[in-house]
Amino acid sequence: MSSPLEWFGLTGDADERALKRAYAQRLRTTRPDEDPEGFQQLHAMYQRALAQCRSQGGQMPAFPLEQDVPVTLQPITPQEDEPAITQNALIEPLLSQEAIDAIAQEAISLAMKGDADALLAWLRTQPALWSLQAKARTGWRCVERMFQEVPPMPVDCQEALLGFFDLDRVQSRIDAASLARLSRRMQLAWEMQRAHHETLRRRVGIETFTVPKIRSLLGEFTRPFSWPSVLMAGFMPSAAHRRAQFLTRLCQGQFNDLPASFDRRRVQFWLDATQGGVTRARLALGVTRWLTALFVAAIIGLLIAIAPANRNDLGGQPSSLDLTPVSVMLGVALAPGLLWAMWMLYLPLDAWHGHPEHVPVRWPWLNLLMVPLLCAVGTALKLWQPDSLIFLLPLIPAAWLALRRFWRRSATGDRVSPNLFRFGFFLLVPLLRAIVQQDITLPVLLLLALIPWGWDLWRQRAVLRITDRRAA
Amino acid sequence: MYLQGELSGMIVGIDLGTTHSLIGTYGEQGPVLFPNALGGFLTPSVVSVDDAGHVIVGQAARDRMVSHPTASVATFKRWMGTPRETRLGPHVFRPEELSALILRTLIADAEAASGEKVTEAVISVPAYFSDAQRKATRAAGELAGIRVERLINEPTAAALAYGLQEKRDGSRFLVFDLGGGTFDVSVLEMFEGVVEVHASAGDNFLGGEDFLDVLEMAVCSERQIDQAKLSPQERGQLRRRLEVAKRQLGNGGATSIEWQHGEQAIGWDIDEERFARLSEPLVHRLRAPLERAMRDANLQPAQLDEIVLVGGASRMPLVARLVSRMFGRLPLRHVNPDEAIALGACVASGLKARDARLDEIILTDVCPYTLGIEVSRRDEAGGRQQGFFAPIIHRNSTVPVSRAESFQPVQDHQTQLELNVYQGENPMVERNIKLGSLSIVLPARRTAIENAVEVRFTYDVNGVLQVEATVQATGARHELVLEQNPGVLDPAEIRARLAALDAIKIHPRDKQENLAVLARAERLYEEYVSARQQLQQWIMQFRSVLDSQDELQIREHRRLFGEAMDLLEKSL
Repeated sequence: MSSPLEWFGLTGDADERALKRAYAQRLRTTRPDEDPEGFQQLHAMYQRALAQCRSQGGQMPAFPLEQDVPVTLQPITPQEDEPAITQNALIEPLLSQEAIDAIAQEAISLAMKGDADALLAWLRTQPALWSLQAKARTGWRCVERMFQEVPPMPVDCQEALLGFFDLDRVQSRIDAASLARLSRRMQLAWEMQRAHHETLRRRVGIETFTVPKIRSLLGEFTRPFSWPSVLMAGFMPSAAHRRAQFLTRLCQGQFNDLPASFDRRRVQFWLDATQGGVTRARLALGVTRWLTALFVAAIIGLLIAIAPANRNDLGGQPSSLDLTPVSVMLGVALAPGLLWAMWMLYLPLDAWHGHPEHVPVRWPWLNLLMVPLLCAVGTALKLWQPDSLIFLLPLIPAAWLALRRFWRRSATGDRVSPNLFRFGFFLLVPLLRAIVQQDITLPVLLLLALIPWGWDLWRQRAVLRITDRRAA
Repeated sequence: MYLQGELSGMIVGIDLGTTHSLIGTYGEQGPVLFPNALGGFLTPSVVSVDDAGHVIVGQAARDRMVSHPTASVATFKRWMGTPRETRLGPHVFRPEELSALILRTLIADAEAASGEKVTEAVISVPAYFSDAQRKATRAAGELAGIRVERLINEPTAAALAYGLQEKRDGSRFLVFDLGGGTFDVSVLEMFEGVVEVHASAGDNFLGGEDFLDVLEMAVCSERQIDQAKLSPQERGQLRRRLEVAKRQLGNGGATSIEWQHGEQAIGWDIDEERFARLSEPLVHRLRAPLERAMRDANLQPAQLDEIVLVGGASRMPLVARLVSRMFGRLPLRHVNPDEAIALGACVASGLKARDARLDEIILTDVCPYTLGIEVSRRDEAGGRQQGFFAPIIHRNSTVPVSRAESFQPVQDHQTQLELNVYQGENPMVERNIKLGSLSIVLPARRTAIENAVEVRFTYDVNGVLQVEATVQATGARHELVLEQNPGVLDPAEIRARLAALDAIKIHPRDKQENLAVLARAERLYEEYVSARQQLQQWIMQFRSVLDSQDELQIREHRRLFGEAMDLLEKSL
């Protein structure tokens, strides 16, 4: 392939002037508004030829830092050997690297004080930064140091600093994802300072969390993991939930960015404790709570067991239930335990069943036909034993799962308040039985299950793929 | 017949400014400007509505800003591209319509001066105007009943005018354009008749008006006046006086203003040094676009041959100081800063008409901002983050430009892809301007790699962006029509509003001079309490002469009235 200069009909040693003349000549027949494609090609060739010309002439572009270098994850340091610009003697002398370092140092330490206006005022009055080159180099030095040291700095100071050096733009060659992460880490480091816990509280925005509460939590997270301490702390279900929420908001969901002083195992425990599915943390907390319930129940059972003896003494009627201490104990302790076990089973089931259609799931056929299967079992039970309420056992979960699936996979799913919905649903069955004498519970529940199920299928018809869902 | 009329019409160049507008064309002797009804080239970009619901444009409307502030509006160029509506008397106008009213007046002036029908115009816009703002400008042209195919960037226009005037070959220069409401910088090179723009940068909300705001704020805070409680009249008067003071400061030294606030007369002194201190934040905002343009053009200050100042606000001495500090030399002022852009627009109109004398001139411009789409990316920690801006056309690419990049959907088996198109410089899309979005249906049962989509952006010389997405596996194409962004009128709406505008009466051109004299008298009446009686008498006299309908007498009286007011303004 011929060189760009030859494309213009010039020899390899042609100067810029000759090239420009040739370009202008061709431009007259290839006008940008009349021949867009031809012009684009011409212009691209011209740019390449110009680069060739300049590299031969020893003339370098003024900003070598910003030339077509591929995007990298870390900012690239300005090249130490600044090209000697021979073309024009008027060019100002380059500032020494020490002077640049000093300005960058001062700028960062000002930014760490947290006053963006003062920082900007200082930067603007720096005579050295009126020079475009010095400004570009100082800006790079600042970014470099920020990446190395992650100094604590509030967001507005970061923005002021990057904005002043015009580095907050897509062409700046700083990787945007790394910069976003750096920004989060610097902001977090800033807020972790004792004086700025109030800012942290406002950003985290959990209502019940006061500054002292946040301080005690931050202290807690730095202590090494121990089972007694986490089990004690997580005894109340809301405590575990709040801790996980606090951690998530603290690092905006990027757990790698949490301060190094945090005990990773402890952090992981709280995250596991609130995730769906069965995890060790959840099991441990659940067992603890259940054992505690058992202990409390034992005490209550003992107390009640003493009571009937007294009642019999007073000549009251014997109660229909035989309240032995053991049965009371078991009843009180098993009920929450049973509920908890059901809940643990339900969560993965709900997640599995309500998965978006385009995401692969296990047992796709069962997933698809879960609701009609349960409905069929319920109907069969009803036909077998018409007087018993046993048919509700598969039918209520069927209706519930169908509705959940319908909501979870709809566009507005997140906006429906789940609590209100749950409450209404579980009130429906007893209400129906109380109001209506005839037994319409079965058809109502069947409709309640099958209509949302069918509707959802129809809605998902475009993405419905049973066969290759396990492919990935 | 109709077609012929279209072809024989004149193409004009229009500088539709924030504070002033001008019109001209490329005539026998090169670019010429047309005077307005009052004989001047500068028509204030102010629209006012009188009690009868008739529209007044220009100097008279500007005077009415003081006497009838609620029925007058100025600086609406700043609202171009937004759906903001202004109520003036019985009418409600969008910014496009207000601009169309200015354009109609300018065109009437041009047609009166040349005797030819205007069918098409090249309108200058700030280089840093966004897509929506450019569309609004075109819509304003359509609403004024003319065709607007080409928009020219203001600094480029100024450079054209300057370059042709100076005929300096092989030179690089920087145009610093500080107008009433916008600031633009362009770095250009001229060689062999080619005018090549290397880079443009700017700030759409920085201009002479902001310097006035700074002064207004200083007066109010110093004299303990609540700015929010100022009546429109008082505010109009204050701003007028400050404007005069600002111009006087340009000549050096100090000046003072006298101003009536409610019952009390307020005096305020200002000197140049103080003004410089007050406007320091604004001066620093001027720095950023200058640096950006230089960096994008890949030039050192010393490699520039000239720095050309245009735009009325560039007359302020602090601008010259800033430029000489940054570039180590004094800026050039051979061109008339008020007219340079309009003259350049005239040259552009000659280029558009393919005028034989301009055959040697070829203009290449750049796209002033970066255009791209929203993507999600993996960071070093491996987490997927959303909301990143992936540029496709980089700012300051020479236009026309067409570039394509390939993207993959986030997940395997994804069947739909939402392509959000953004304009801006920030690496995060939330800080950029969304231009529109495109929904793409992907073939089912394919992995992300198989489902790559090629996105092509094409930006033409008229500043129209076309987005095209091709699913590489199937070859299915999707095209994005960027017409429907909020704040831009669609063609049906334009037709409806055109009819509505046609129905509104504009004050006839031949009555403009009388109107201007009366409006000025009314303004003076508001401004100078001591001379009210005298003015009232003069106004009554003039009205009775107008009623006589004797053209000669009216003209004579008008001249005398004008001179009397000149004297009055000087003495007070």
